[in-house]
Order: sequence, then structure tokens, then C-alpha cells
Amino acid sequence: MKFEVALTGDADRTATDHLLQHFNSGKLQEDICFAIWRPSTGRDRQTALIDEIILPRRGDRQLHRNASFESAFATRAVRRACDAGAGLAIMHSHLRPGWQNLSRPDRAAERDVLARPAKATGLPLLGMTVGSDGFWSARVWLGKRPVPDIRWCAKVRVVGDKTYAIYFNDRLVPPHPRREVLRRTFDTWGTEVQNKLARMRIGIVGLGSVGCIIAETMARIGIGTLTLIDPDRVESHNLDRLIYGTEDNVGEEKVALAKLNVQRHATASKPVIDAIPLSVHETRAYRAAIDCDLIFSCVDRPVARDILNFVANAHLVPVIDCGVAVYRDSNRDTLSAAHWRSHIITPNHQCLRCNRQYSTGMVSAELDGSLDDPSYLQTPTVPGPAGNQNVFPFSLGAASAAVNLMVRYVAGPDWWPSVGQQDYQLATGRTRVINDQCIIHCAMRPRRARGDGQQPSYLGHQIPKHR
Amino acid sequence: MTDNNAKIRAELEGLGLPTFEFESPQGTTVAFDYRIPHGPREGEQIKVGVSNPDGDYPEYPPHWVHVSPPIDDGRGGSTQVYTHGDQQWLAMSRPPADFWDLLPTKHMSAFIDLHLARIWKDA
Repeated sequence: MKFEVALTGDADRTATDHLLQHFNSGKLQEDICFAIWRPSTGRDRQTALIDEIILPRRGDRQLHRNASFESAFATRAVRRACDAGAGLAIMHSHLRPGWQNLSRPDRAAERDVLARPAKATGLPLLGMTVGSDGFWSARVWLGKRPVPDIRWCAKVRVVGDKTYAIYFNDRLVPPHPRREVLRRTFDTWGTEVQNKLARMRIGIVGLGSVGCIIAETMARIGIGTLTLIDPDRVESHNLDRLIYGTEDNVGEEKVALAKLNVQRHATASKPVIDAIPLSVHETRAYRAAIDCDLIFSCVDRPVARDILNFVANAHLVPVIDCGVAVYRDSNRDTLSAAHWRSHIITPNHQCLRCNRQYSTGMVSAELDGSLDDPSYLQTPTVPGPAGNQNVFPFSLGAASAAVNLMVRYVAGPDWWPSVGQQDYQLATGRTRVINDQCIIHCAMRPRRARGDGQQPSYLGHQIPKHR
Repeated sequence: MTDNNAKIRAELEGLGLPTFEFESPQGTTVAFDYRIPHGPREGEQIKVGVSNPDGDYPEYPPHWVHVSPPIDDGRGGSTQVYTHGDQQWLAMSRPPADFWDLLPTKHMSAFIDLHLARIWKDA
């Protein structure tokens, strides 16, 4: 099981503003604070989620170029972690950039002083260091022996409002070498961005027309690890939109077909592609989704969207949701209008319920099979999906919008304006940018960074197969 | 889901609707006497129940509406006729999918006034 850390943008800002306050004003002085963390357990990794920083009060720490904490400060932090049912994290700054190793005094403070009292929380101590450039490094202290063992984290993610920072431990996750096949890509957004993208685990939930185009794009830009999740098999009516599908593939699992083609087209040196032929509400697929660093939601079912809404908010895995809506004039048997949207979902962005991509009532209707009853969908109580009409060019538009949203979030510079959602109207040719926020009583707000403590109650339940 | 039903019962009783509970094929059902407020059956006295198996109330609204004697609103979806005691009941999948999530305060008064009332509008 790998260990990693994810911070909300607010927690990152609070911690780094405090820890780098002296350095940022020209003084060579480190600082220290605590945080509480909650576990998010996927299939292959455990992530410590941080949303609450515990800053020192007057007299809580001593500054002597290094920084040390008083026992009262540590006691207060342990108590707060215990009260919250969370683990304890100690954070301090170094005056050098990049991933930080532990100095002897740091090691003594974490292993010999703090690791034991932190056991009162029932979770291991997490140690974090921020470099002078804001680069986080992290480790956990594990084991029941008198002296716990250090386990370095593979990466630290900061899920911000405008950008998504990921700080890799190069020893555990080495950068991918520059390859000739990726020359144009490297030369377009630079080595740093490419090294970041290549080392991310990207999930794609829904391998229909849009999902397969996104999978192909991820393969071409050199993404190293992909998780593909979809329970469906290829049907003949998919073939006008499914880039990988031919008549020979009818009846095959969509994820298996996508995996085969993505492997063939991948530009990463050793692509790892995980194909999971299950719905994301099934436990194995849900755990695999939590392992991802970013997920594309290419589904149109409320249950899958509800699950991914939880994953984005409770587990701090950014989700980019996209979809196509087609309006037909049935009297004249013609297209009336169409639009496609993409949204980014994080605790800083509007959730999928608040932007009305589904509702809890629609989740209920899907759980009992009602959502596939056409007469039911015409009732005002259940605003069902607009229908299954779609054509390949619209899927291309939606996939492009979703991938570009990812590129903005992962690779865009700070000064680019925020884009939470974009909506392209075919009739007018206009793309509308929407940065609406959740309603004040949004049910996802209290779930942010809560990790394993928050999951839909129907996870793993049997759902009637849709027609 | 016991807490959910306790909350639903408390809210209904706070509205002056005495409740009773029973086990139905759709889970523990909280039921009460109800007079149809409008439509072709206006004034008819029936028993109505709700059950809520999908998640915590009030985040997830009651999903199933149970009616005795059975009155089908004709809106399709999942339905089931069953017998409890000596009475026939009809369970219909009728979650308020269009407005519930946007309510600032989610309460059974909204479920009854905004949602339940419209179910029998054309029944």
C-alpha cells in the first residue's frame, strides 16, 4: 500500500502562509505547525487528507533559525485530532527548495517525541516539510516497535481552486525520460508539466463515445497510468460513435477494447492500464477510483455521478464531468439544438448536485430501475436525462472540452482566469464560462476531505441493469 | 435507517399527523392518515406511507410512497402491490427528484405540501 497526502487549497494556503512567513519576508527562519488528517483508502494507496491546520499560539513554539514546539502545543494538537477522529500531522518548513529529506533533529522530533503520543489518535504520525518554493514532502511513521519505521510518501497533491499542484518524490516515482515520440508534447508545455502529467494516475469512468476519445488523448499525451471503469459491453448501436469499435467487437467489454487500443497507441514508455469491467458504485471499482489523481466522468447515470461527487469532495480526487445534451424536434424529425458541457468538481468548485447534473431523487429512481421507464421520465417529479441521442462530432466536442479543462487545471499558469464549467451551444457557436458555487446548504460541504468516513450508503448494492 | 425513520416520524407528528410504522417490501415504512387535497379524488381519506432506503434523511428524500387503498397515479416506474395486515397497499417509486436538493431546509412539510399533493392531481 502506497502512502500519499492530499491537501485542500485552503489548508495549503494556511499552512504555507504560516510556515514560510519569515522566509517570504527575507529572514532565514523556519517555522512549525500541526494539522489533522483523515484516511482515504483506495485499492493500492492510502491518502492522508488534510483540511484543518492547527497554528501555534503565543508561546507554543520557539524560533531559533530552526523551530521547535512546546509540549502544550503538541498536547493541544493531539487532543484536537482525537476529538475529530483524525490523525496528527506535524508540518515544518525548510529553507531549501524541492523535496526535503529529514535532518537529524527533525527525525528525532517526529520519531522519538511525537510518534508515540500521536498513537492516541489510532493513526500513524504524518510528517510534512514544505520547501522554500512551497514544495511539500511527506512521510508516515509506522509500526508497533518501540521505534517506528519511516515510510516516505510517493507524492503530495494540493487540490486548489485554479491549479492542481502535485509534488512527487522522485525516488519513488521517477520522472519519465524524454522520448522522441513525445518531442512535440514536451516542447509545447515543457518538461515539468509533462513529468507531472506522465506520473499521474488518470481514471476514466464510462468508456462510451466521449470516454474512449479521452482515453485515446491520454494515451497520446504520455499519461503513464490509466484506470478504465465501465461495466458495459459494445453494442452495435455504439459503433457510429465508439472510436475503437468495429462490428467484430460487438459483445466485448468496453474497458477491454479500450485497454487494447490505448496500449497500442500509448506514447508513455511503460504504460500501465487497469481495466475494471464494473460499475463505479461497486466496491472494487470505487476503491480503484479513489486511487486516481484525477477522474474523467463520462457517465450519464445519477448513481455514478453521485459516487463521483463523493469521491471529488470527500477524497480530494478532482473529477472532470462532461456530457452532451441533444434536443430534437420530433414533429419534423430533426435536430433542434445541442450543447455540451464540462465541469471540474473539487471542494473549491460547484458540485454535481448543485450544478444540477443529477439529484438524490434521480439516484433513488435509478436504484429501483424506474429511471429507464420512458413514461416515468415524462413526469415533473423526475427530470430524467435528456435522452441517449448523440453523434460522434458532439462527443468529440465534449471530450475536447473535458481534456482542455484538465490541461488548464493541471498545467495552466496561475494567472489564467478560473474556469469551473464551460458550456458550448451548437446553435450560437458560443462557449459560456460558468464559475457558480454550491448553494449554501450543499450536502457536500461538510464532507470535504472526510475520506473513508463518507460514502454513499448504497455502495456495493445491486442496481437493476439499465436498458 | 432507524434514525431516518425517527426523524421522519418526528417531523410528521410535529405537523399534527399521528404516525405508525410497519415493515414493507421497500423497508420500514412510516405511515399516516391523509386526505387527498385536490384532483378527481379530492377529499378521499387514505393512508399514506413513506420509506427511505437509499441514504440518510433529510439529504436523501423519501423514495417510496405507499398508498392504501392502492391508487396508482399512472406515472409508471417501479411499483408493487402488497398486503399488510388486512389491507392492500401500493408502493410507488416517487422521489421528489426535481426540487429536494435545492431546498434550504429539507423537512417533511415540503415533501407533503410540494410533492405528495401533486401525485394525486390527475389520479
